Amino acid sequence: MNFAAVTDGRAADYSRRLWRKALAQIEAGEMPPADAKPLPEADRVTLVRWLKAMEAQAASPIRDPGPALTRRLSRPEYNRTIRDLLNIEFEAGEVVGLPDESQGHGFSNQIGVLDLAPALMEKYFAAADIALERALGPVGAKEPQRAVAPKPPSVEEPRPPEPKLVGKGPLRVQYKCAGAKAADNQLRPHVQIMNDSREVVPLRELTLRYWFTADGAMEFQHWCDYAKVDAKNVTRSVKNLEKPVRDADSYLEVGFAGATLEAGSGSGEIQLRLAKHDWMPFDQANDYSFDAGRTAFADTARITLYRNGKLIWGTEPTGVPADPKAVPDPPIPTIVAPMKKTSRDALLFTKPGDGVTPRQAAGKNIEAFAQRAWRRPVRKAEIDALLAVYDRAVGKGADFTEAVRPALKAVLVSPYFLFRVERRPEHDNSPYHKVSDHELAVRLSYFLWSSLPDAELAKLADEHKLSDPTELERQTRRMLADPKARAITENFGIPWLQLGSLSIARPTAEFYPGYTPSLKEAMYRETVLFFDALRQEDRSLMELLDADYTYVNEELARHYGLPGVTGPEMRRVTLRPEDHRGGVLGMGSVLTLTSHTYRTSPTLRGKYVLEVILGTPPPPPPANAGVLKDEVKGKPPKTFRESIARHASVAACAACHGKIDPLGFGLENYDGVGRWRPSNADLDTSGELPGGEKFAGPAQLKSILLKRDDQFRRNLAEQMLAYALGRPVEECDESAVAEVQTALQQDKMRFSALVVAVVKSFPFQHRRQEGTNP
Amino acid sequence: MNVTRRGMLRGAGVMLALPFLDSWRPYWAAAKDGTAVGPPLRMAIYTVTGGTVIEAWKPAEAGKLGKLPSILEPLEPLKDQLTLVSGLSHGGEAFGCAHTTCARKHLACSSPISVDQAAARAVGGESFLPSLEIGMTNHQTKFSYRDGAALPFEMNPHLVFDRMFKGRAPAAPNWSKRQAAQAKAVRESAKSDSVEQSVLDAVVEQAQGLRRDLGTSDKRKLDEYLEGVRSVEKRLAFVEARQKLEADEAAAKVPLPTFPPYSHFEKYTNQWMVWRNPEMHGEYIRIMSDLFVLAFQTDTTRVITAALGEDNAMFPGVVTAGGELQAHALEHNGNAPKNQKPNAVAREGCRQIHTWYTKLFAEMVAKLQKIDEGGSSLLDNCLILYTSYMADGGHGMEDYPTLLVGKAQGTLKSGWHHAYPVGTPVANLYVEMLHRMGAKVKSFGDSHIAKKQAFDGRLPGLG
Repeated sequence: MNFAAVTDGRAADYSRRLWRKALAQIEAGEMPPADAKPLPEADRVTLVRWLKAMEAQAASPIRDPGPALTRRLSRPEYNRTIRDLLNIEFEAGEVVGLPDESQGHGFSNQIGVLDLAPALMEKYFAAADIALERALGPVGAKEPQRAVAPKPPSVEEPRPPEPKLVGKGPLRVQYKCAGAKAADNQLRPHVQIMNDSREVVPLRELTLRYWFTADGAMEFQHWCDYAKVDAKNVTRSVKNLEKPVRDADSYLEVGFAGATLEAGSGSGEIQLRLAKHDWMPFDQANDYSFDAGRTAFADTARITLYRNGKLIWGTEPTGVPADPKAVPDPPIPTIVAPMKKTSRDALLFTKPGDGVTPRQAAGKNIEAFAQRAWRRPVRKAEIDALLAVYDRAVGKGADFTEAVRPALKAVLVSPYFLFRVERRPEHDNSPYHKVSDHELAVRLSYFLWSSLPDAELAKLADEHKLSDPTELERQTRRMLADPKARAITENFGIPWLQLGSLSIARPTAEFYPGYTPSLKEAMYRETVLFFDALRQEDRSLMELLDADYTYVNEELARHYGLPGVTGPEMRRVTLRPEDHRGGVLGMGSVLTLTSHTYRTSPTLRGKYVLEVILGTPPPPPPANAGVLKDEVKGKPPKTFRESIARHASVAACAACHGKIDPLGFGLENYDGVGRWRPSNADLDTSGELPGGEKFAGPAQLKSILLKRDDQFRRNLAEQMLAYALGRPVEECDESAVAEVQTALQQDKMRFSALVVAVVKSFPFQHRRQEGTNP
Repeated sequence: MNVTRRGMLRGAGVMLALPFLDSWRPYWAAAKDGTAVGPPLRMAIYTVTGGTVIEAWKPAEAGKLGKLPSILEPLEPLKDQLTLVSGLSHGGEAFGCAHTTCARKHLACSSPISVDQAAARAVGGESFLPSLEIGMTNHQTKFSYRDGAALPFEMNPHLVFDRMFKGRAPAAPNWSKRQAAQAKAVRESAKSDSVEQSVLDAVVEQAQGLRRDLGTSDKRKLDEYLEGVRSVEKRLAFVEARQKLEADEAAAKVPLPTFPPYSHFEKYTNQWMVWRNPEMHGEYIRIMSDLFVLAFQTDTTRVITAALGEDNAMFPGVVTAGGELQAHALEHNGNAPKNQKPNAVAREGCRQIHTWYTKLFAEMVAKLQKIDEGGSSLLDNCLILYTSYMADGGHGMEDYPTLLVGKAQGTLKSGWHHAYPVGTPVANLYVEMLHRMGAKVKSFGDSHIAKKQAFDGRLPGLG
């Protein structure tokens, strides 16, 4: 704690957080430290009373919404904004290599990480080009012809002949062999599913099987290297046949977690790879589905396709062909893909002609686009400046579309697009002001959706109705329930829980042979699904600490020791106390990312609880601290606990590690990848919290944390405010934090209570006048 | 409008430049307008993962290079192009995990600027891109710094290619015909009158108007923005001028190496796909190496930093010793004293990985040697540092691998092992490299403040 800033009474009034922190430390018995002279009880009481008075006095509201800063859109915000604006798929990280601001953890939308290196500007220019190419078509392309709906194949039309193994449409599997060597340590089938029907097929209903002989292997690793439908949507598992047949004793089953197969189109390429766990070679010569001769995609009946479990294409190696009668069952519904209004039509909604000059039409299109992209009404002078770009292009001989294109590009690389700009009202010299309705709409939509306001929000802002408190709350609840609010899970939940660090957790194969990439993926998805369910179902945030349900698939369930879960897809399961799960501290993701490569780390786990759950991160180690050396000096420690306890033998370390490590020991029942292991003589799970509260094992740790709900609430309020404001919470936000805390408590810790309270808070709705510091 | 706009841009530039203005004066002085024109010296850093295995890297004897240790064996045919420097160590202070700190110290010695960027400041104005940072890094391993901020590395080969050749055809300059005056004309090329330029004009005007309305701290944001726009503008003008110049001097069109089809590149947007399969990893390094060669050959840039290794990578088939296949685990088991002696099998695994990297590197060096620049080979005009961000897989910082490849236009005593006392700051080597690039700096990083500072920040006998 540093009191140096408190130089006079005014500064003291402005240091509520400081007084509160001091008070908390005295009350928890952390100060004075155990090895210092104890404070006589009478003095302690006086000191506490005085600190409380200071805190109360400082609490007198000096209204200040905090620093007003112009922020650049973060990468997730940029992506979502472009997608919503142009109605295209877009991921600037992949397309132009826009860097990720979150750096593994930390919110990506914070002012501190949003600098703008010159190299970035280059990327924004390239991104604007590519985004417009996706929306308008390539530069100079002819006006696209309306796609004619493909003719459904008539029943009489014979398929290209494939000897005997002909499957029946309308769904077909095509295959290409990406590795022609029969003796290879990896199988490399590339597949795609073609849909000849007039029906939109949810991929979720389909599975396909690639049949092979395992040549003795029992365990496998497999990957989807690329899929047009997004590799994330592709689920995989290897199954063994109970009764092996001549060319197959196993199959790789591929399923889908999402995406759809449009009528008359294909799934696009799905690149699969499979290796034995020990990377020993396969002999593919006798694999049923393998065909070295397939160098280009073509129909194959040797890879079988199932719809809702029913074979609809191909012939199984056991000789069972697809039942042609199975095809019309389920009956083909008459959902024909609606002709979607293209992005191009939407952007160029005004065409020249009928008394509209090309320049007028261009102006109309550009104005509508700029208004949405800049998230505010646009002035005529601004449109004129954009029309100058149009004029230059026309002067160089461009046609209508090609002349509008660069003007739209100018909109997308403009500071008004890349930055969230807020301006002070003219002739207003007060120290702060309420933000305008348009600015409020932008704050709200980037908070909940990480994207621009939709039409409803924009309209309310135009009509100055959004700032009405009832309307504002109504809109907040509407937006939070919208699927777009998944952004808050991705951009708030994941970084807050530091889930990004899971990707670089490195449990080694030597110590944790069962830790596969697919298990890691399942762990990640468990936490994401759990957090998003809190939002979608508006559940109590206390469930983050303890819950009687979670999300698993077969592999993760096996890892957790939960019975009765089969299949690669994640689903919700109910937990019993003896399952030892529930809440984030029992999740494989958190337990793995807080471990070392070869063992658990009570220090990292203790730090996680203090920092992430309770919001009281321990200070960073002093510069000369170094890392605990594992070499043994003197008598070797008998147990793991003793070896970690050496932290406490060095004075410089003891002060903090005495607080951190005992907390982490409470989670020792979980190993370095989160598997449960019962306590025994060598596994000591007793712990102690700062302040002396003792416990043993995760269950007791959880119940103690549940009792510290005040601290947890405060942390939630601070984190969510920081995310919403795009900056760290400061002294001036004290009363806002307190108000959010109260609201949370009154509304049963509901997710929506937190969000609504943040939206209602003073700093969310106001802006400090530059140059003033109340 | 243009007058004020230009003035304003310059104003913004100078304002931003102020903090480093004085310290960078020596670099600017290097950019002289003499008539000497021939192939310029290019500098590159090619850095791989996880240290090295010192007994298989460092020859026992200093002096003329004899038979190369096993990790360097793939470079045997290029021996006279090698200058092996040993005994150098990381310096400076950095915070974070062991990987973060080693990465921070690696090229920057914890100073606000890394050696590649210092070189780019000296010669970057001469070429199309001041510098190129390519390859794989993760959020723990950041190597290049400017003003204390880490620079993003481009991983996707397709994006690297676009960045280099968007709007221009790959052509190798005809150095024997190039005149100093022409080169100068490119540097000071006139404003473009293209449509793209009108886009730039429009947004600069907006930014200018907005800047007036904002408070001081936000003005800085707008200055950053304008600085970025200016670099795009400069590039635009540069492309046009360079194309005229190349037409004048009859530059040779460079045939492109056969790259995998466009769709193939999508794989390289995901590091995990590259890491876990050595076949793909190797293919990736070859593609990046081709781009590396192309960038120098076409004078697209004169400074490259290529990070072509990854601790997370798996090496089935490359590592044949033992069951562990992940580089990071092998590095630790083969080095760190975790309650145990270094595992000899894992150490052998590390050696195999590094030999594998060197083989791929040697392929690239051979390509550089084959390219003729009018009497000298491209390799003769290169100064490439082959290195790693750690000394060994146990996060070691002393006596770390530094091998200079290329004759640096005859400024190195090559074919030689230069052994310096262990602990000599690597910053001394960076001072030597910067001098050869024309930046006559007195010191770099901790060259004069390190505990074991030596030789007044230089490496005597190196050239």
